[in-house]
Amino acid sequence: MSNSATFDFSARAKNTQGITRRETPLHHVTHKNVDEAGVRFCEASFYAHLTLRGNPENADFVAGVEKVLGTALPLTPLTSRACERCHVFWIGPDEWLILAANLSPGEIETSLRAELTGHFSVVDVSGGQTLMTLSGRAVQQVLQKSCGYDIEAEFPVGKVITTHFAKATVVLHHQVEGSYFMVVRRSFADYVWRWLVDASDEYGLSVSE
Amino acid sequence: MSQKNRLAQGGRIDRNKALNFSFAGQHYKGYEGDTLASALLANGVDVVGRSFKYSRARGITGHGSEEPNGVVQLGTGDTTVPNVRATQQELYSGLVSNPVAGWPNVNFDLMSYLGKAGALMPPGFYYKTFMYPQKLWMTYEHFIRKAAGLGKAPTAPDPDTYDKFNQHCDVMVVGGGPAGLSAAYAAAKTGARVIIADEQSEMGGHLLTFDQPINGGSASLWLAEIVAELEAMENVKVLPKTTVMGYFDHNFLVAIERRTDHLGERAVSGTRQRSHRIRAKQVILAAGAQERPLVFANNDVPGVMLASSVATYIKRYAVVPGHDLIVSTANDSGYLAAIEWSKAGRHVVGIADSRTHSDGALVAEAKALGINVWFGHAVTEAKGGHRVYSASVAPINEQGDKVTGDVKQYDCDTVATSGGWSPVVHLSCHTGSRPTWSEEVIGFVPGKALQAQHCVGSILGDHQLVDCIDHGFDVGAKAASAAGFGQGEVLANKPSVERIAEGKAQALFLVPHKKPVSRAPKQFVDLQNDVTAAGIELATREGFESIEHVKRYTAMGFGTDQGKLGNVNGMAIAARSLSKSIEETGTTIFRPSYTPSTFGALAGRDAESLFDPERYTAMHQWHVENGALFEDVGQWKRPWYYPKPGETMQESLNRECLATRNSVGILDASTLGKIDIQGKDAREFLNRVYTNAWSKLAVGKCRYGLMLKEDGMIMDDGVTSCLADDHFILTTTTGGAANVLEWLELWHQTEWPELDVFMTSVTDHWSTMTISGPNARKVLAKVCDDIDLDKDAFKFMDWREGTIAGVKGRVFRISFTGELSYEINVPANDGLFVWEAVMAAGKEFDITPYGTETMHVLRAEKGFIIVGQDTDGSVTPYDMDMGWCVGKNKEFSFIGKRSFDRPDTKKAARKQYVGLKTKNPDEVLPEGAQAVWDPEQAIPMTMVGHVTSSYYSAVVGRSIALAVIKEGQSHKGDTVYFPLADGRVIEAEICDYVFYDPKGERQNV
Amino acid sequence: MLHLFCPYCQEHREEDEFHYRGQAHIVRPKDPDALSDKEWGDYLFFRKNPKGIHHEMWYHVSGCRRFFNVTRNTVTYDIYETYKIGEMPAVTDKEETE
Repeated sequence: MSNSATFDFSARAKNTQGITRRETPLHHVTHKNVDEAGVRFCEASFYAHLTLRGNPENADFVAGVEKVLGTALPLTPLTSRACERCHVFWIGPDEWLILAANLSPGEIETSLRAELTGHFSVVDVSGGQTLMTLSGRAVQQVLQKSCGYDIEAEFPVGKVITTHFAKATVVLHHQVEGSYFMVVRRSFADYVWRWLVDASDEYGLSVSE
Repeated sequence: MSQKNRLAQGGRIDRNKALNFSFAGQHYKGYEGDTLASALLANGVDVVGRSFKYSRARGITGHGSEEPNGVVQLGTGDTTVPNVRATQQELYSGLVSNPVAGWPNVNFDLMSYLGKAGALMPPGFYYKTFMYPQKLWMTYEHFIRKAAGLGKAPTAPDPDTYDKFNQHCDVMVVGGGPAGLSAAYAAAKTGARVIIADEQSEMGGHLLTFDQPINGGSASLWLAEIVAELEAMENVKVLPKTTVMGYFDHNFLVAIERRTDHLGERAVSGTRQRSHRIRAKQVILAAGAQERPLVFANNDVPGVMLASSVATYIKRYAVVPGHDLIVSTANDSGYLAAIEWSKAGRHVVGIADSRTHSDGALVAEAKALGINVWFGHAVTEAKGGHRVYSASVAPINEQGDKVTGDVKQYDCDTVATSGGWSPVVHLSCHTGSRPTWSEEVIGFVPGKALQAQHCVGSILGDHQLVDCIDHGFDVGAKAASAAGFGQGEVLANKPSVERIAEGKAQALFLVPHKKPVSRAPKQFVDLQNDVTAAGIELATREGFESIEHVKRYTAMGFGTDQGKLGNVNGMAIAARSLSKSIEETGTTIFRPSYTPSTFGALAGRDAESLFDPERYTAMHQWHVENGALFEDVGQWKRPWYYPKPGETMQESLNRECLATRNSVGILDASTLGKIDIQGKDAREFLNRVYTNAWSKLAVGKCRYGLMLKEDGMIMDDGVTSCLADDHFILTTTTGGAANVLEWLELWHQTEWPELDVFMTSVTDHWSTMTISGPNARKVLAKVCDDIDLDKDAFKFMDWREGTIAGVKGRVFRISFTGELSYEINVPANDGLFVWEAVMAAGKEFDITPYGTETMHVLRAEKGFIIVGQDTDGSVTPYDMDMGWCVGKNKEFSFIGKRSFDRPDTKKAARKQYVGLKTKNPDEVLPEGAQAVWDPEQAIPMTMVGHVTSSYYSAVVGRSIALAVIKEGQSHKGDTVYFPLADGRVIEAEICDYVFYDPKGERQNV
Repeated sequence: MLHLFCPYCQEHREEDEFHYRGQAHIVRPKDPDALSDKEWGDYLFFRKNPKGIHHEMWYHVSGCRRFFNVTRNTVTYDIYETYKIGEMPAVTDKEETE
């Protein structure tokens, strides 16, 4: 019941944009490049995040999504697909997460709604979560400190899991060798960030835009 | 002081690296590679502590985690650690240690005189001595604790870092002795991921003591090679200084690695201790065996040690802990102490071997060194106070239960004993497997494996090196194969080791004395708890037949060493006393942790500000900048109120409440749960999970809903809005958000999968700000020009899509204050910006931010419930006078409906929701206060209800409260009393729960 | 800590990703209003508490958000199978395995 000292926004950085000043969940994080750092962190700001729900056995749905997104829906559990336009993650048997750097969530939602028929759902969750990227030679150790999942052996490139990172639930994706995407709910972002700073301390942490 | 017991050569220490340390205020020198125990012995320190009950002087007995006496308080101040075994603590420069037992000091002990004066704590003292009078318990406990000196916890926060590491492997090997190393090696050769952990500072186990040739060369050479090779393999993690403290379900193990404890008291950088949380496909227990001492009279005098420990101190640390040695043994391995002692150039008085003969190789070697061997003899008593000065050696019969001839006295300062080897069965016990007695091993061996677990080496009673290595390779390959690697064949050359000729060991536990057990000098079984053979016999005489009861009666195996040395002897003595076999008597079992673990290692980084997530809204920084105090609501940090300089809390609340009632207030309501529901059956789904009807809610409209559990009790509430015919957004309480989503999924996935509906949490996506008060419309109009705000165009319980401060969002005209209210929702990335824009727009109306406390007051003035505050899982909508919210004619029997008809639910005499006005308008009832009709009645009074919410209301000008009172609705106007714990009785009148604007006109303006 | 195989994710996960949701295979009566108080009470409150094989429901809350069933031995904590909602167990107490 006191002012929380842990939320430090005194050094607000530049990850805000637009006339109306949009702000990412980690806009208060200071960027610092450290050459020899073992862990490299970046908040990939203002991606479009959409939750797509539908029946994978409905061929029209699957084909319609592929037509709009330019990549097939990953139907195998824990897999992902990517193309120039977006990343698509398997989240559950009838749930996918779409991430896009250069498209507006509204555009994607509109195109999907125009194309799809029958029972499906598209929800813009762009403000509700943020995308973090993690890499560096010690990234695996940091993940091992934070996740109970077998990052070492069961997490090849392309795989995507929803799991615990410390006490937060995150979506973790092995994007390219040694580099990970982590999708975190907005309200947990600062907690995850502070945990990461702490867990990376012994290896050095570099934060880029 | 000089290291008078240190040899000039040998050992695994570095004589070029001398280290200063202190114990009990005295300063000493040791070497790198020493443990605190070996360094103390090198310096001739005999007494390291005082015993728990009798306060007798005690010295170092063992050399590992079994050590019962050498338990120290390490370090000082914030980094001090109690319960550290001197035998496990590696020496570092500047190490400061103190005994944990002994008051006022270990060499002069007040308690020992008390102990001598009478049996201060006879066996069974837990049950008898301290039973009466009960009020003295505090005194007893204080006295016992002070006397026993179990160490001190630091009072300030630990400045060091402790963390956790999640590990996964195919094969987990516990124990880095020859069996464990061989198993790890064979498993690793198949490509399996292997972790091998050993609690000692280096791998090797018994090989560090007994250098038997391997492949024709030195064992140390083979050890160095295999460890180097394992460390070089990418699929292997070698973890020395790591104690596996627990073995849990589904092959989950926790191991604590001491990373910097050997370097200094304070971890200069990095992690002091790391707890490895290991999930293994297969587990190999190669934890070895623990040498068992013989029990004889005064066997606790400093200078009485385990034979293997004596050999280890000589071989590994180049420390001979005395000058004149007598060995008392029931097997061949005890001879090793005498052999090493003799080779070190000190005097071996003789070896008393309880057996009639042995043809073992070690026996022959001892004889060849000219050492006296007395077969059919044992040490029956040691003499000495602070150090042994002589030992009684007597002939005993073949059964080992009778002294058969004259007792001879021999001068000596050290007695090394070996009663055999007890397998370390602790970890297999953790899985729920009961150890079984083996006559062949003369010890308990792990019971049937309950998990994917294998055992190898001396944990099974194998103590021939050749067997340990041979079986180690086999089991390693087998475990790897079971984990999916290899076909079980050994993919490496097993080293060649010669089998050593060995005489059969004798099962000897308690050495007989001239006098019966009850009259002989104390024969200690459990040194840490001062449990004697006589105490165990007394327990059985008093009728304790179960070994678990004997344990609790005598406290055997209670201490921080958990009976590692004493348990088997104690069970054997109990068995004999009960005229049962050891097998029949059985054993107590062991629970985690194997050795004491620090809280730091168990907590890891889940401490202080990282203990639990703190969730923030997008506007959090504004609240901080504007002086909000915060309230924890679940994991959320919500603004509680915004005090201005000099204001009391009540003054702040009055100001915030009146500003909202008279002009306009603003609340960050982003934490409310929000669930997006899409699908053609969404309405039907809502009909089933809510009490009221949703079939006719038009697009653009909102409706309040009550959610029940199947027992008819209120579970959650919130407003649901129709976005499109097949698209709704549902709100939940802040605390209920995750539960409600799980609840909805439960019904959809398990009962009604045929309904076409998808639910997605959007709690974090939307920032929600509520502007409330007569000027709310004027403020909104300044930031929104694309919604017609006219009171008839945008009515109460409507929602509209529009642009707020340039941001696309939704505005809901709903009210939790009873005032004209708008709830603005914008994507959270824009939340802070829009909030600031609304604040700027509201400036001319003195827009006032308010927190959760004012929100509570405002809604209480209107009698609106808060689920979880005014309800507690035992009230129905009817109890809360919310029958208006129940759709009686819905086709589907919604969740909870049938329970309205249960006799208990529909009975008249239930507690009902009412308002309360205290007789004294300035008196605020405490929430939770219990109501009675008659405060004069005798205690226990008949309670008829309780206060659920209570505040001072500035706008009403008096205190107001909400309560549930038995049949309260028919008692309006009656007086009810609240007797408080402090003796006051508060009188209140039962009234309607709406205190302000009873007709609800203000929200419709 | 248990290690549970999620039949939807098709792999084992740590227990902390799941919520326990009690006895499995309890079907909500089709017409609750037609039930006697006793029958409704049985549905509401009475649950099995077997020593040995138990069919129970779990929720992969920090994962795929699917409910599924588990056949677990309440004594040994052995898990014999996990299966999707709508499927029936292959292992029942009649064929309890050693």
